[in-house]
Amino acid sequence: MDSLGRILMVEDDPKDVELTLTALEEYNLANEVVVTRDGQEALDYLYCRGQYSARPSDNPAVLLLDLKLPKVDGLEVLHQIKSDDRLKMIPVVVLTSSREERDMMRSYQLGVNAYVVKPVDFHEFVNAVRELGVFWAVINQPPPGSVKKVL
Amino acid sequence: MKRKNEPGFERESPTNEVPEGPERLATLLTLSYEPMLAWRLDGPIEFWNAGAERLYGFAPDEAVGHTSHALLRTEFPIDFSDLRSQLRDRRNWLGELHHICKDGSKVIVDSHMQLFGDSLVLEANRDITKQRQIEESLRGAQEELGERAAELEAANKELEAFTYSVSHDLRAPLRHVLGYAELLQKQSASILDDKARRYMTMILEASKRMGNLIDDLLSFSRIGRAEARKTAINLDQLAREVIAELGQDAKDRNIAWTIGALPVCYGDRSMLKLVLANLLSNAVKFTRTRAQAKIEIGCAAGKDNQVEVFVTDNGAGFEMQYVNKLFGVFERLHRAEEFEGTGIGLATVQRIIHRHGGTVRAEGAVDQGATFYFSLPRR
Repeated sequence: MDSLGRILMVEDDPKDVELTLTALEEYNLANEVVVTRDGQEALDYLYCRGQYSARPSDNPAVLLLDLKLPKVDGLEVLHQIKSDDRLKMIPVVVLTSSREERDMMRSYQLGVNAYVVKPVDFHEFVNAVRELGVFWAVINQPPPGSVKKVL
Repeated sequence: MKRKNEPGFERESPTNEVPEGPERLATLLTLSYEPMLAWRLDGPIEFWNAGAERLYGFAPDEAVGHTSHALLRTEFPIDFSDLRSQLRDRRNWLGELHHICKDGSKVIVDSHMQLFGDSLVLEANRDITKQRQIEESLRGAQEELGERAAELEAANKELEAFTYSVSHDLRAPLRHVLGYAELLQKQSASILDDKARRYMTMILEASKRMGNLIDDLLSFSRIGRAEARKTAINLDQLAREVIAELGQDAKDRNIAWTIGALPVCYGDRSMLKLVLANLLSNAVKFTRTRAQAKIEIGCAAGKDNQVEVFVTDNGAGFEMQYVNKLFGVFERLHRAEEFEGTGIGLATVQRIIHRHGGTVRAEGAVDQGATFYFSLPRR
């Protein structure tokens, strides 16, 4: 592992935040994770505004996006990102409990890069998070202009 | 000339006394029970037969001389002036009329009018009041039936949506329970004694079971919500496909498969595949205690428009006394330690077959195997 891209996690449930971070930590993927708790905060982060107005403007290597969020929901965030020239290159992985066909359809129509249903079984969940983390934050070359921390 | 009901009528010779020509016809008209009348356009009634009296209640001397549509308070389907024009142009008119009788009751007639010369209208009617009433109540009953069916459909859909959303919403907290329980188990491995470790294991097992039940409930409710795409299905091919897939998981088992002649039937392919998969995998599961499992699928003698398929095995069977519980959701007739499962498989089979308009049934005896039957429409 030579470099670790930044992961932007958008998740409102604190238990899911903790379980996901624990899974990422197990594989040393948690150091470059930013957690935002709703769609509005996620967009503020991406646009460097509000509480994030002081941060340097590079993009995360991947977005882990939950769909059921308060204020601005996941699909709306996805829509805004993929409609913006500066942001549409960011790979987006929807990580959700919903297996609803209409959520899947809409996400893919909006240009999502991956759609992962959170497994109920914890071992499977940890495996899935690890594979996602390793692929998107380590193996995959993120678009130019993304944050990359050299390990 | 004597009337039919007058005494002495039969004694008159038919060939001698029946009047010739117009008189004969006129007599026939007066005798008829069908209402017949003749009236002048913009003028009075000139002829009124026994049938008209019988239906409308007015005697000839109460009717002749009056304007027909005034007397009968006739409701025409078109303007009277248009009717008059039609009579003048086409010489006849057919249509439905509503009349009010002498006693105030309403009648509906099928009316046939013909214009003779410039102004004489001959009208022959047929009473269809009863017929219209029956049609009306039939239509009312059909409407009500349609409404009931729609209500039932809506209630069912609501129930399915509820089942689905509840099952769906239960997954997240269950995921959390499982996650934290696993983390706790890992965290406290060194400080837990045997008893505590066993309690941890029980928590995890119970939570996993809850997960299976929720998943099964979710897919079960999905069957009701999904659209069934019906095509002609080759059951033989489908059965072989399922058996091949089951064979993968049962490599170390000694199973003798018998596939009888299976027909082509009509239904949704993925749903019917699930039916066969559930029945055949059940057979595989419940024959686990046998040195050699014997599983047969074939066609029973069904009715003309239906095919009946059976799956029979030589496995653990079940008590026939409980056969009615067999197809219930989450109903099991065996202990969990004997045979695992949530008890949704047969409920799913029943749901799917019912959606196809067929029926399911089962026969069995303890330790003597079981046979499951399902019927499907032929086309």
